[in-house]
Amino acid sequence: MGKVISLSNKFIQMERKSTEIRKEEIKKAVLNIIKDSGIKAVSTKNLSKEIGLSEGAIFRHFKSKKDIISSIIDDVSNDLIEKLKSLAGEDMDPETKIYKYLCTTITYLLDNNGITILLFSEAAYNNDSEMIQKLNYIFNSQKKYFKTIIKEGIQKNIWDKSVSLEDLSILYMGIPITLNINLILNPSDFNKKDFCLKMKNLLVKILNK
Amino acid sequence: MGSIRNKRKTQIKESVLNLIFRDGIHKLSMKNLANEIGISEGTIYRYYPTKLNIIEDIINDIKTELIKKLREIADRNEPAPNKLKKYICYTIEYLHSKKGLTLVLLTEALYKNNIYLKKMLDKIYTFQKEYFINIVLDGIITGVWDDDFDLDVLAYLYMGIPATLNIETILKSESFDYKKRCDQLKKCIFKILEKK
Repeated sequence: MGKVISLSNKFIQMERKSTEIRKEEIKKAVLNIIKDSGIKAVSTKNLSKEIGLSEGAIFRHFKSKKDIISSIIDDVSNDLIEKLKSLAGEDMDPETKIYKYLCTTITYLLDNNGITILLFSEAAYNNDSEMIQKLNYIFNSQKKYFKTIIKEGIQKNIWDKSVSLEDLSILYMGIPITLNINLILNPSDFNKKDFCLKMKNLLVKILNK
Repeated sequence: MGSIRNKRKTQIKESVLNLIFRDGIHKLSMKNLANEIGISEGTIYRYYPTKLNIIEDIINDIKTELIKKLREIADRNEPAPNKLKKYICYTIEYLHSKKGLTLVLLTEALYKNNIYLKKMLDKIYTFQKEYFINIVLDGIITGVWDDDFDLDVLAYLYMGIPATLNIETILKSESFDYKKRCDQLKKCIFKILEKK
């Protein structure tokens, strides 16, 4: 009897693990479809073709298409935003911090092929308030932690205190957004080499006294 | 007759923007549009056979209104700093008055992976970037501005201004004073350009 129970426990554990793997697979497939054919083409039918799972199996992991996309947005919050948050709190000189902050963001977006603007287009297309809220959080967090770094540099008397924090952070936010748009409209056009460094230098020019 | 026709078209395009801004592009159907304007669907079809035709016409407007004006500013025989200020402010004012229009169109293009729309939008972005670069080069050549920065990367940074503005409009952030915003952003860009 005991042996049967432990076996079935083991089976449940395996199931769980494969649930996580399956979920990842489904999300990846969704991103591939979006990239190749647009969000409109994401259907459970297309998905099941792409991964080789039945439509029913997909529904076991996610309730709906919206559920999948929502989960992808949460991944961006958990991966990128958490990293940026901890970076902003680290103890290093503000100029290096800006550089790392910018580069972490750019690397993430390059690795994920302009994912946020795609998610954005889904939310904006449907005017879905829950998703708009989630994207607002991602947008505002990036802006907020950027401001934290700038404030620190001003307090340490390294940078010009007459710089408008709000406007500079708006200018900063244009960098990831333009990158996203560029990655989608013109994927081959981006030259990563030294981009972070050159961009950091421009921001520092604005900040210098 | 021509002007009545154009008025009708303008009315249809404006209603499309209102409808999209309020309810999202997915609500844009000929039926909803007819309701919004208070005319019959048949009347709309007389001007535009398809939804896509309306959207294409809106993109054409951006080309004739925004891009043409920006080009005209860039080509003026004026000191570069004056031109750049007008360039930034006109862009902000235009997008502000059009409620994040270009990004809405981008949304449509991405959602349906419409290659034609993507190309048109890419052109609009490219022109904006190109004229910006022309003004900055003008300032460098006439000795007003420094040249110790990467011009392509600066153009990239500049292009973020219209993009962020559009996103903010759609995310429905609080409204802002666009004159003040353009003044502040101009200051940031000028700090990069000005000689020490």
